[in-house]
Amino acid sequence: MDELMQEFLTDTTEKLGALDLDLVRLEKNPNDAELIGRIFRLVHTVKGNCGFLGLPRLENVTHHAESVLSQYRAGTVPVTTDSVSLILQSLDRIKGIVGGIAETGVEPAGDDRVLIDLLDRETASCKSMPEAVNAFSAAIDDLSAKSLRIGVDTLEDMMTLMGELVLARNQLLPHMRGELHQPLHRLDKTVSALQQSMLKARMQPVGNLWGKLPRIVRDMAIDLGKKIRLDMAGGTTEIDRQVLELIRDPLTHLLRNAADHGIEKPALRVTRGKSPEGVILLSARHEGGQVVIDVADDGRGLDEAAILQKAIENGLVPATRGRSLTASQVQQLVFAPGFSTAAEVTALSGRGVGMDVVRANIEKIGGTVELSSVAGKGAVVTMRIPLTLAIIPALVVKTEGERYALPRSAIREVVALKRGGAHQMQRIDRAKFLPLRGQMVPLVSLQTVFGADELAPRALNPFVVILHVGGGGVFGVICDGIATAEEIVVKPLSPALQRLRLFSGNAVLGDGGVVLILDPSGIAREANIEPAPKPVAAEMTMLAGNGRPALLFRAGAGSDRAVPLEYLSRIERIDMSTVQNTGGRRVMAYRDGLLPLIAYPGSTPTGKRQPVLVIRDGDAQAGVIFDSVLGVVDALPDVALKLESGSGSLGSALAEGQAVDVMDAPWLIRRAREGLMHDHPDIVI
Amino acid sequence: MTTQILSFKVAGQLCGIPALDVHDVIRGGQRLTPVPRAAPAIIGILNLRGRIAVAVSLRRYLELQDAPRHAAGMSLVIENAGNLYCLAVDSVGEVLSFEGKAGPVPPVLDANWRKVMSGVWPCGDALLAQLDIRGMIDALCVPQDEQMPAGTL
Repeated sequence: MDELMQEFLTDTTEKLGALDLDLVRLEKNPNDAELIGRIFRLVHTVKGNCGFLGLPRLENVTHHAESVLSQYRAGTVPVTTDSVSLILQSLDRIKGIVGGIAETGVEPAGDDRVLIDLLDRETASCKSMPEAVNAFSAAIDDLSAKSLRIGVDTLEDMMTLMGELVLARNQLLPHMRGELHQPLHRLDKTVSALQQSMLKARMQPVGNLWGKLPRIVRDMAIDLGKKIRLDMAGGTTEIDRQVLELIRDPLTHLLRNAADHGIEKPALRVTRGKSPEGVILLSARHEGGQVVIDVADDGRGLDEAAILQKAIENGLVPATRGRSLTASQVQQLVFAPGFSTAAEVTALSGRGVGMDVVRANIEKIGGTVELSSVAGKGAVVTMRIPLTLAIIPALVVKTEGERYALPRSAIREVVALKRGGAHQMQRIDRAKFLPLRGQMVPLVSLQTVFGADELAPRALNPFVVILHVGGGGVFGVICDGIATAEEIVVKPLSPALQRLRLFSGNAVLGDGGVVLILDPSGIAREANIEPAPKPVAAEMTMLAGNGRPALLFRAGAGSDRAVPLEYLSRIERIDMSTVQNTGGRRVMAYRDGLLPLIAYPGSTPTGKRQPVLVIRDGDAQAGVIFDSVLGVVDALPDVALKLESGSGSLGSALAEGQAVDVMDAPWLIRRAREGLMHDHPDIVI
Repeated sequence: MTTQILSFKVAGQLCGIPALDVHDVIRGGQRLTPVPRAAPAIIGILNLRGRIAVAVSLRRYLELQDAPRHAAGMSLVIENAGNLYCLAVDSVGEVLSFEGKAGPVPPVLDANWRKVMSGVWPCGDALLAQLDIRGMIDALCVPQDEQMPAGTL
């Protein structure tokens, strides 16, 4: 394909994208002469190009579309929804033909007679047809002079050279003294500034992506018999073009969800006291080195009852637990993998079609997705997306003397495994785990994944890097040490290495060395480990009846006691002589404040120094005096024998083969704060 | 027709590739970052003036023994489909000019040699094996699953 044709295709595709946006605006604003003029000029330019490139079919279609448009411009034909649909139809045809040329280099065959008849009928429905078409050929878009089209390859080359320059600068910096000080300092500044502008050159306004969305919303609104307005704000917010491509699908998906499930039909909206026209607000802004994109609608919000019912049907939540879920817990269920499948879309009137996929795709590029909804008022989905994938903050770890980079966005935390330290690795057969805040996090050694001998010598004090995996779940990789934390310029792997699922790319480090970038989900797959569920998912497992982590302790006589770890903030040992009695309450000075104290019901602590469980429920906290810690259970089942509220105990549950008394933490906190009550003589300090 | 061939040696055998295919010749012994689980012939990746190249050992590709440790060797830098490769060989000789067409690959050769050779040139009293480097790189880029029949893993 020659350069001229290539140029034409790029230019036309771009202009067609812009046309979509203009036409939807035209439907709302039929008398905007300036807008009609612009649309007309664009179609006219496309037509003009067809002539000398020898594209008769395309020329024919654009010619007839142009005739109709010229009447809109002259005001001789009223712009109706039907006529805009007709123009959109013609544009789709033009797009189809252009797409065909881009693929094969020649015009695809096809019959446009039906469309042209429709266009001609529209033209004929007016009395006169202005012949002033040629007057417009002189109107040339003067915007083009301000920007320049550069191939992505050229940009990538410049990035590479830039990287090299930065490297050379880094090697020179140690020599920055004497007469070299001044010029090197200037070089340093200039290189940094140049790097910034290079990065900026890769950026594109988010609005470039939004151009096609009004059309999608318009078409959906017509199909669904709804009235929907799409408002957009912050379209000039810039983001890396590569990221832009990757959020296209998730964004479209969210918009479809909002139009399909969020916005109600006009009649229903009116009965609910809303304007018949629903609004979807798409907004973007920079916030803390990220781009935040909100998709908000003023529709019905999430149908929590339907979501819950569906979750119960799919076995995500046992029917018995459904009622105890809060509204926001129910809303989070839409992100659960397997919550919805395409076949069931129509059966469910709630939101959440493929939300797990949206979340997984956004998390894959180091972003996050949140959702909030108010029944009857609407819903907001917030996506936080990294500005660029080209330069990412990374942690460089060492294993067997080699360095590997881990994207910081995938790292949850780093844990040092020291002999006798707080964190110890556990083994079941050959599988390794790290107990961490009540979770058993599966571990994998990088050496093993890389196929090294399991018995190869190991670092004395290895580190575990806990990683997130897309779609939820955490696991840890064991490495020998941490080398550096630095920003790396990510480069795609050579085709000769692309089959290796362990790596997502490679990069040149500040010292000129090359590192491979580890891909967390690839490692999890290769090592064949099942990542531990993430906190939200962990909560759901807990709801499913698998139990929650708890601390076992002894207080007074009787059975062992248990407190769910979610309530426990610390364990302290206090000198009982520092406890003061004020207004019927026992309190002690604790971290800039006062901590109300209470003995565990039924116990009478007598020691001079006593251990105290500092428990917390929301903002309220209290200290519970007890005798000794027995251990931690990972999964304390639900209380089997319930007690009535008001005893400080929820009842008994089975832990490690014996019945334990489960603490009613919220009640104890209230009681400690209220002070001694005379009608509860059993609670005595 | 004149063909310009850059000659080099691997395990004593005189080999060559079209001189125009070679971007650069660099000394061996560069710092390589090994790539775990890569094909055996891929000995690592390295930084070539800001670009990342894949280093391929011709000896390993031919399933020959590695060169002795003290031998630094040389590397030919080749660009294929926009990516750089460093082909590690034992030593690099001169650019030789040949007239006519290369002779066919003799069928008696070892299979490992046959898969990389594209022709033979008489060169004084020796024979120069012309290698099909691009074919070799393409073979390395094929996913392993497709290279191996099912059940070999």
